[in-house]
Amino acid sequence: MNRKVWATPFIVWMVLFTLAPIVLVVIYSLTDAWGAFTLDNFAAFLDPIYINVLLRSIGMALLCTLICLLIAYPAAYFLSQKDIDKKGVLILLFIIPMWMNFLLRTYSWMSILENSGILNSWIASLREAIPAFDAMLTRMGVGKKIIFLYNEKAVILGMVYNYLSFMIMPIYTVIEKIDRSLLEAAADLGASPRKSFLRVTLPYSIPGVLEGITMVFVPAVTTFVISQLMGGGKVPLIGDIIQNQFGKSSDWHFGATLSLLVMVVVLAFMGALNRMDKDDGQQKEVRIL
Amino acid sequence: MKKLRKAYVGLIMAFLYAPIVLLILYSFNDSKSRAQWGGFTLRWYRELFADQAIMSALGTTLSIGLLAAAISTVLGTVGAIALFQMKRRPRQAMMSIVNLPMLNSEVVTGVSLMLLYAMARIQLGYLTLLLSHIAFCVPYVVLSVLPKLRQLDPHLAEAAQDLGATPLQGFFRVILPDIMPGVFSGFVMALTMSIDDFVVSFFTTGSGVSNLSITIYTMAKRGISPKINALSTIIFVPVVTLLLIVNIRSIREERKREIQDRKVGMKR
Repeated sequence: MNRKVWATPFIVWMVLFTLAPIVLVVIYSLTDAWGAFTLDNFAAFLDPIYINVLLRSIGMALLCTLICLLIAYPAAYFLSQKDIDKKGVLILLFIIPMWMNFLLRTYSWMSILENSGILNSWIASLREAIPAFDAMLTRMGVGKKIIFLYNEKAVILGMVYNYLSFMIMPIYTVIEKIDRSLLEAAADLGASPRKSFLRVTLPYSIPGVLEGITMVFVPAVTTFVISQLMGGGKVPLIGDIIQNQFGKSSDWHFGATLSLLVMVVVLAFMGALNRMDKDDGQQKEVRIL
Repeated sequence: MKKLRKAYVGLIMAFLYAPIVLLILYSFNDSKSRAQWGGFTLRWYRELFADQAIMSALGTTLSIGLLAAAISTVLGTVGAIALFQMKRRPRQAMMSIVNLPMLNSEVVTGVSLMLLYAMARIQLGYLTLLLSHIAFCVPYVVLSVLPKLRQLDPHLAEAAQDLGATPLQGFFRVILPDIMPGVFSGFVMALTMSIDDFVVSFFTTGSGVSNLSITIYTMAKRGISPKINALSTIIFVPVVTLLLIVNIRSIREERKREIQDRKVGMKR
């Protein structure tokens, strides 16, 4: 009796507000505007335009994840070293930007990079101050105003800036937890610092790396904010197309189909990562559940 | 080598903070052309506080945040206890539902809830915004309370009942105080998630109700406005100050304890 009193409201809530909506996405994707069963929505996706957008979204998200990993791993590793002073404060400094609304973080780059933005005005005043610099830029064919925004690079920059901390934190946490005596043992047994890094630190840090990859890839592959603000609508990603289906173009059934496909991409990606994470049985259980 | 490491970490810090610092700096810039420095002003702050749309969005963000955090904390705590008492099979099934919003991307969560409200013919607005925020906050509360329940001594509740406490009394006097840290951190997490959310809110609100994130998004899409800079400063500075105070104190205390431990060790 007691058990059911606790469980019922919670189960009802979870079924209504978590399970049912997902089921609705599946139903919408398999029906037309009159509610009849159809596979047309999936057929519509096979248009090269949409396939290209999906592939570009995946490609850009992967690139962003790779850049984040390359920047974050050394940072996390250095932070975990004993001889860094004021470690606690440094970690805190890495977390603080995450507390700022990500729209504002993206917006800050817009205000720097836009055509009449801070960077362009700095370059302009540098040109006035140093004629040689001006001459050099002119010779290189650089115009008066450099266009930084509204292209793929700007979108990638926005993604990396927004998600970098998501990569640093899990890697740092894992490296920090590595038993120091393992490293000491490696050194005692004659391993060079390089070798003990490759044989101890690196393998033990893999779960953190995988966690970081998930935390960066998933929001990056589905974003529509960064592509719209930094890309100015010129670099549409799958998130933009979905948002469009529920806004201007208003084809909810096709939108549901695209959402379902994104869900599959994300789950497949996580499944692949999980398989790589074989050693860590416990974590695997949590993720698959 | 140590210097190289420091330089690298410093470089990343600069990358993370330069845009934020510039954003704050230019919120005091008295110039129409946004990039030139035209002297110090508080004009943008005055305009910000006079902006009805932004102020009402701020109100919505705070009220939704507090309500969603409070309700999802109650629901999530109840849920965690329910999960804890379930048998293995149903628990695993429920856990996979709890994990769904965290596995899914925000876009899918937002879209799916939008479809739900359309199906139930609930007009998009304040209520749907609140329900959606509760929906994505509950799992975080559940996952922060569950570990505390696992640490609980199973005999405590039994002992309370043996001593004549009703189950409800047992819960409030024995179980709740012990899991309180988990409940509290679940509340804080829900509050921050709700205040920070844009994507789910974007899909599930309507009829003129918008929170701060949505307002910022519409403004930023139209172009750069120093008012947004002022708004960022107002949001960022108190949060950072608070975080620094709380954390630096705890870091200091930890160091003191370490030093004391070392002294004690030396005496021995």
